[in-house]
This record gives sequence, C-alpha cells and structure tokens, in this order.
Amino acid sequence: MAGAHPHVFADVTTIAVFDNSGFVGLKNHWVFDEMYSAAILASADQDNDGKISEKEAPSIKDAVLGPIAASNYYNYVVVGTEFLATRGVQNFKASMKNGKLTLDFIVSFPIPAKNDYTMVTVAVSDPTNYIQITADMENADVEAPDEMDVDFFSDNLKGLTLFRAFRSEVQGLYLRFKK
Amino acid sequence: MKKALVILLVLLVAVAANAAVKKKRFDVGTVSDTVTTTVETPVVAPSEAPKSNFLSVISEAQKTLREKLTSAIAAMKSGEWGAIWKFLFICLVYGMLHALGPGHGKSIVVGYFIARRGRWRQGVALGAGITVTHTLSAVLLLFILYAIFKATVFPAFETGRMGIEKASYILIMLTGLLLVAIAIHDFWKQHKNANSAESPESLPRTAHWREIIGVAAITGIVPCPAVALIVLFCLLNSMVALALLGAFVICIGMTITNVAFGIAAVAFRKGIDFGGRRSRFASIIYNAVTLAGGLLIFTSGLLLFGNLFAGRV
Repeated sequence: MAGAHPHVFADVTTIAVFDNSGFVGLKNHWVFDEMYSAAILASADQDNDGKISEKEAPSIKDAVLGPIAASNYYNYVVVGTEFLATRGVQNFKASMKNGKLTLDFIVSFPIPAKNDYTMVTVAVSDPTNYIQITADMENADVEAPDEMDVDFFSDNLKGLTLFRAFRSEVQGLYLRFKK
Repeated sequence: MKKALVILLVLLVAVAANAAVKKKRFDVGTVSDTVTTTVETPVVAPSEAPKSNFLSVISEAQKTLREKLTSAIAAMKSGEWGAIWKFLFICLVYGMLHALGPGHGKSIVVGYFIARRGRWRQGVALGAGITVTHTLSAVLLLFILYAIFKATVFPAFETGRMGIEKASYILIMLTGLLLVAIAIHDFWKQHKNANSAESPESLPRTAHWREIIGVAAITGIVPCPAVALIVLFCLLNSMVALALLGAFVICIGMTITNVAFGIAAVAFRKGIDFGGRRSRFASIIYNAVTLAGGLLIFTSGLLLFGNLFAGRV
C-alpha cells in the first residue's frame, strides 16, 4: 500500500487485437497531463519545434516506457491463474495533441486460439500509483478477423483474487475467444 | 428474384460480421475455473460500481488541481497576473492533499513520537523538517541538473530520484531497527537494575534534537517529483520566480499536513504516558510503546522499499 502518491496522470484507452492465430496484444492509447507532457517533450524535442518527429520518438519511448518495462507497461493480462509476461512493445508512436503527450503502442501478448473458449482478463493500472492511470475500459474495443469468435465486456475486478492489490475502482476487460 | 437474393446475401453478411465480435456478458466464474463452455448468458445489469476510497478521491483531486495549475500558469504567461492568487491557493491545497497520500513521512513522524516522549514544538519541528527537506531536495536537484541538462532535465531527475529513494528507504529501515535495539537495550538495563537494591524510576526516552534532525534528513532527502514537475513547468515557461514561489507554497501545504500528524503523535504518546504513569506496569508500557514506535518506522521503510518492486510480472 505504501507507495508513491501520483506524480503523473494518464488517461488510457485500449483495444484488444486479434489475428487469425488468436490474441495478439493490447493496443494502448495513453494521454498524459500537460505538466508531465511538457517535461518529457522538453527532454526529447531536439529541433525545438514543439512536435515529436520519428527521430525523437525513441528517446520518449525510453524515458516513459523504459522504467515500466518490468511491470509489463502496466498492462496485466491473466489467463487461468497466471499473469502473462509481455513479449514487448510494437508500433510505438508519440505525438503532442493540445499540449498533451499522446502515446500509441501495442503491448504484445500472443495467446493462440483453441477450438474451445480461452478466457482472458485484462487490466491497465499502476499498482504503485506513481502514475495515476484512468483506464476507460467501458469503451474498450476489439479488432478481430471474422473467423475469430470473440465476446467481451468490462466490469470491476472485485472478487478476482489475482487483482487484489489493485485499487477498487480499477475496471477490467473480460474476453473470451475461440476459432 | 435476383433483388431478393442480393438483399438476403447482404443480410447474411451483416449477421455473420456481427456474429464474430460481440460485446456481451458471459459467465466468468472464478479465475481458477477451467474454461467453461456454457451457453452465452443474456446481458445482465453491470455489477454495482465500486465505491471510491479515500486515496482515489485525493488522487483525482490532485489531477484536477494540476490541470487548474497548468491553466493558471498559461494565464500568467499571457500577462494575466491576477491569476497568481489562484495559482498560490491551488499550490497550498495541492501540497496539503499530496502529503496525505502514502510516502511523505507521516508514518515516520508518528512512529518517532510514539517511540519518544516529545514536546509539542518537537512534533512541529519534525513534521516541518521532513517536508522542508523533501521540497528543498527536489528544488535543488532540479536546479542543479537543469544547469547541466537544460530542458532535457526530467529523465535525469527521475534517475537521481530513484537512486535516492532506494537509499532513503533502506536508511529508514535501519533507523527503525536502531530504535528497536535501543528500546530492547533500555528494557534489559531496567531489568538488571530492578534486581539490584536500588531501582531508579524508569523514565521513558525523550526526543532529542539530534535524533529529530537525523530522522528529518534521511526521510526528507527523497526529492518530490510533483514539486519538481511544477517547478520545471514554470522554468520551461521562463518564470523562475514563480517556480520558487510555487514550491514554497506547496511546501507550506505539505507541512501543514505533516505537522498535524506530528502533533497528533505527540498527543497520543502524552496520553499513554499520562494514563500509565501510576500503573505498576508503567515501565513495561513505556518500553512496549517505545518498541512499537521503532517497529512502525522499520515497517514503513520496508513497505516503501518493497513497493518499489510492486507490479512486476
């Protein structure tokens, strides 16, 4: 419980991505508060144009996502009784929108689809609350090919012991899919 | 005939496309259940929204206040200097709320004044000392690094902060252990003296200024990133004086909260001492409370340190 009080605020939306083999990962869309955004932009904006170019994006990825790589970038995916470890971040893009640092990236969790349903629970949250993440799971969506049968809904994580360390208002995304 | 077929085909495709991905409730069971193959349950009303707890309330409040701070600074940047009163007031409230969250030295202050009989002004001193050190280290570290890194300072600040944090939490644990050791040593000495002819009245340990300064230093040394961000934001907007003024007022806000806890701890200890003074078990009570204070500090350090690694998969 005793952790870091929020120093950074982020609004997060997610899309669960599937391909023909099964679950691929989570598309993350993070929007940070203006103060943190200004600090990070200042550290990366080498040409001082107030925008983030493709050359400047990697240093932002290192500064923001580097320290949280060991925590799966705060994406927690549960299959059965285990939290999956991510295979990494893909398609990282960074931009400034209305003075707010906006990051788009896919956190990779390959889960092959079977003929029977696979149940997955997803939450995006910082258990240390250094980053106060407001994850809008109610508007989470799914991108899947027609051959994949996917059901999903969002609800709070109450009653799931694996998520007991998470704050009570963190919402989870419940998915099930099969071929 | 052909038209009917086309319409039927379109309908079929629409239904098929819809069938693949559905936002619909299904039976989850417990996480440890094997995968169920139950028929889809009809849409049920979502479970009761979870009530937000104290921590999430003050966190959300800080998010709102930070947005207001940003707009106040923007207003001042474009010349509306009347916004400075709003800015300072928000800084004060932000500081008070921020210090209510975990990790700002409250449990250390409380632990110390349970372990030591202290005077009111010492409670104020420790609460203020931790907070001032906490703010000053953030401002100093930021300014020093800013001189080196200029606008690119923040990642360097974070690296520095994380290193200092680990060291501080370890020192807090050691301090807690030291207090526990002193308490055990006192108890042992009193026990020995009790068996000899003269048993002096067992006086509980009192707070010493040297100890207070030491505890304030190792607890407050961790620079506060929230203060640093607000100071940096002002610096990036070329408002140095405002940066320092803002940090000063945030510090006052945080001090109010920490001092309140310090005074409460002094009062709590006074209550215990007063209630137990005539008891046969007075010395045992004093020793137990002194020990408890040390344990509280040790546990706080341990939890803070452990939390640095929380959330890893």
